[in-house]
Amino acid sequence: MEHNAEYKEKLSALLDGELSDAEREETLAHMEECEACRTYFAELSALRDALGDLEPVDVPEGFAAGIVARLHEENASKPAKKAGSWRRWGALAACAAVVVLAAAILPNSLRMGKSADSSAMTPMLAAPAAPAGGGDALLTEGEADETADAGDAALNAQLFRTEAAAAPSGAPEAAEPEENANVTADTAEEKRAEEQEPDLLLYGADAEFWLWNNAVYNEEQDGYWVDREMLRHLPDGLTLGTADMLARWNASGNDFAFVRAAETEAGR
Amino acid sequence: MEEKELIQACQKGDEAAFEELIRLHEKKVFALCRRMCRDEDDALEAAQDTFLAVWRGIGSYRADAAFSTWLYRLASNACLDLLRREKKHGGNVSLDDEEARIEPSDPAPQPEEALERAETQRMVREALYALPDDYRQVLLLRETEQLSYNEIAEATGLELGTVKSRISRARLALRNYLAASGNFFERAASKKAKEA
Repeated sequence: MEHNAEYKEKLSALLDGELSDAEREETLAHMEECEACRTYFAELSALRDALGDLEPVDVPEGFAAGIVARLHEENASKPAKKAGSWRRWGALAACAAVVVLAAAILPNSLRMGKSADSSAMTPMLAAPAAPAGGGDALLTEGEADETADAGDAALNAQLFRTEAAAAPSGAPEAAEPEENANVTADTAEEKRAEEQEPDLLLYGADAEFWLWNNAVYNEEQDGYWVDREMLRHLPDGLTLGTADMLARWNASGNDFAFVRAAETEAGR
Repeated sequence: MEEKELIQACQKGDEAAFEELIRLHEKKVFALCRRMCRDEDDALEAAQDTFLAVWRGIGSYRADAAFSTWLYRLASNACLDLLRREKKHGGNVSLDDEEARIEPSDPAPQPEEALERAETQRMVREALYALPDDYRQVLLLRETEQLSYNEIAEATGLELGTVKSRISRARLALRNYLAASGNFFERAASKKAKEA
């Protein structure tokens, strides 16, 4: 019954009405001649009936209200923020912007720190994961690591400003900044910024951009889903970091670019 | 408010609009989560995660893509995520727990038909859970949510051909499981004969 193998998929698609007219004609004609295929099609129909006959799923009472309530809990210590908004803050300590975040590419791995001496900042970059055209939305940890290692050198030209960049380094193991970059907040705004723990932070010479409410934290992979689109709207010359300035980010592409934070030695 | 307006309101941080948006879609999100996940608690968690992800991401949602496609993507991801976490931590609701929740506790004698139906439902659920997560995902998007192959491709990011073959293989696996584990198909055939 070898021919059944090729027809199983057609019968499945026939059940779903997903065959072209010609394929449909051909398959129906075949079924008239082939009892095995008629049986299989009947079995697929029985499966469909059975799946439709599972006990109904009820939404628990108050589900929607509960979600909104949970939003309030999560935002309890934060000022109300527009969903998916960027907030522009004045500069904190001086820090030289060195990396151009190319609009279409999210750096796969970026490690940076902040110190009094801005030239000590050495962003390190690895290849971005190719946008998974048709691939799975989530990478496993193993996969993310693989993409982080691949093709470091290729990326740098795209990710650094050609002139103004301070010491762009493609080497994944470039020198780490020494200081723990806990930001000291001088103004009330900056104090609040410290407490709020934004999802992501990008900073440049003049300003910082903090992102709230538009990154979905993935606990298992210890990272964030961020809509790549959000990053496109930012000006050039920003460095990607976190409130803990020593975090290293790995990212891969999809509608939601997955950004994963890995602790550095200092952060542990 | 129409869905489009609700979404726009949500993008401005309107929580009342968000609650209404949830109500519009909760049933189908729940249906998917319940069938994807092993038990009700997981389904609830995945459904909550889905809508929280909606809120967090709605700022960048573009109206050119169908909202429901995006929603199904988030729901699928929430389920797959949760299932992955469960496996990692070795947490699996045993089938006994599942049955204990669903078995009727009514001591009154049940008509044979009702008992048979419950048994069939149990077998089908078991067969579903035996599928690999991502195969179950596409099958449910087709059967429970009635998405077209194209819509499933959009929601999952898979190629159309992959969607087609994956659904077919999921059905074949389900079919083989049920054929091996009981008289599912005999019952189905006789049921159909009765209805004829």
